[in-house]
Amino acid sequence: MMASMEIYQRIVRETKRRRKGRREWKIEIPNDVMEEIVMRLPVRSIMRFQAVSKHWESVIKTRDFGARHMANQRSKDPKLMFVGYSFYNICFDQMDLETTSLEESLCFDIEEINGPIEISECCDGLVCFYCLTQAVKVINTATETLLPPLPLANFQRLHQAHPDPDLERDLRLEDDGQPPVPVPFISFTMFGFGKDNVTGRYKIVWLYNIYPATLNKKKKTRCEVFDLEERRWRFVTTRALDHHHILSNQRPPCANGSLYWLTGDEQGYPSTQTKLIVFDIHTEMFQVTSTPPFITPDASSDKIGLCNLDGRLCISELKGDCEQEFWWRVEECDKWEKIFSVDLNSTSSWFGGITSQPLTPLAISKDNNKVVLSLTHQENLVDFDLDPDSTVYDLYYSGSYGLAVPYFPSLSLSFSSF
Amino acid sequence: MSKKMIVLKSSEGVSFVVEEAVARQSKIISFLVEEFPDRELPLTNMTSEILRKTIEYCKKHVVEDDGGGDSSSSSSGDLKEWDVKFVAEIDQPRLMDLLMAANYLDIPSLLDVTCQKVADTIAACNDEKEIRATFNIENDFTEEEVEAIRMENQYPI
Repeated sequence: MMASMEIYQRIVRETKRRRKGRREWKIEIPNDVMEEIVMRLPVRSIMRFQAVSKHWESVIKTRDFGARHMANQRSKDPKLMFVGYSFYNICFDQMDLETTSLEESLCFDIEEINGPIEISECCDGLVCFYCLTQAVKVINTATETLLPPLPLANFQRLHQAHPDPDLERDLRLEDDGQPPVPVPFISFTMFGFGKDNVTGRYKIVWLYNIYPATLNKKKKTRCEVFDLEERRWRFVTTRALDHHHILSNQRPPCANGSLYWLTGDEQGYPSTQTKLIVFDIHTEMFQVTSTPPFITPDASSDKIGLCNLDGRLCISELKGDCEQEFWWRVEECDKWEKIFSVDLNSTSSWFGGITSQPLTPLAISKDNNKVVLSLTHQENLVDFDLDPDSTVYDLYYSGSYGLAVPYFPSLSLSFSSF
Repeated sequence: MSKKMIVLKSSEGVSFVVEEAVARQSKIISFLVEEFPDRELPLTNMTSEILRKTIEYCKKHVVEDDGGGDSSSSSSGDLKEWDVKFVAEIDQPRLMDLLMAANYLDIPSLLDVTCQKVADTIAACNDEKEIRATFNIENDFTEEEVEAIRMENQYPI
């Protein structure tokens, strides 16, 4: 931004220069103003705008433009992305948060899938999808950029060699006569996907438990990291986690450069001694902390919810009276703030009558002051008015939607070469 | 206490008397008011028409901001609706003038709505030729280069 006085002088100068008479409206727009306009285009139009001139092609390809575009996107409501898949294809549907209308849809064929697909959290418009024994893929759905498949993580190769017996049962008919082979059991969780705020690099962080500890006598918890620029998996130290195990089946949220998990018991089941595991994506160091003071000290970890809401770490607890209380961490003042609480008796009719599992908030609509809530493995989405006096719940989306993540369309990684 | 008024003068020399709080949404005017209090501010590159429009926008937004503190979601929603209508009623040439005015006077929210409206126009263009024609941008690509960019952006999957 120019200093105020400078702009004032520019106003005066331009006035003097200006010719009399009727002006043609095709005015010259200064490049900095034009950039403000281009930044507000939908991603697809920005990609097309590159063909306008060499100047614009080079501007759009800069990291700085991508970052400013992202910042502008973040000032608005996020989109919701629904991911649906069948055996041979996967579809990404972008929905407008306010109207729930379908804005973009991207479907493509994939190799045959071996088991359930998982998706990561969305980071700067990038999302990863994978199943346990097949390569992780990273996609920018707005620019339709698909990175080459990642090499298999050590964990995935281990899983290929020793498939989870539960998973095996689903896939294959009973094989009689064959005694079951005792295998090391891996209790796994979805990986974390986030951005190193210092270097701007994207990293995948896969944390899992192995037991009995036949494979490695000392370490029961392992962690592999994949930096999208380095393109290889490597182990990072989990010494800080030596006396802890992670809770199975969680999708660790990323907020402000860190990833977060909850602890569970030795087998990855919920326990009442829940701690919070924090991983700094830049330093790649783990830390175990107590849950924040508003969480009941002996709360079972399956009653605690962890997610990223509107860029902040959000922790919630489902209390005995079917009331789920949501708090988030306000980084600017380093404080926890209570955001809202939900009575699960009011939402259960949309969520299969369930009042025992915590809900996950997907997004907050700034325009409508509403929060959109989901329940894992259930159809439908519900919205809730955030006005403190209001107790209005509405059916926000009806029917099955597959997997859902909040999402900001971006230009991330579209111009990188891999 | 009566509200402090300031005088803004358009390129035609027409004076507009505006509440200071209204005009202060422009960071430039805010600065000038402090530097040169009690003086008429000549905005010699703004026509009366565009200045009137700019003031209309600022008036609407200062009123809504005043109601702040307990401003409900509906009022911010109404304001958004008002903004959409406000830019929808302006024809393209005047919209560009208003956008440039918002840029010169440094009124972020007005710059945002006008830029968004122009962006919507670009998004509705059929191809890059139409965009170049609308914005007077010179094409320095060869046909082959344009084709290469098109290919690059076509379903890389």
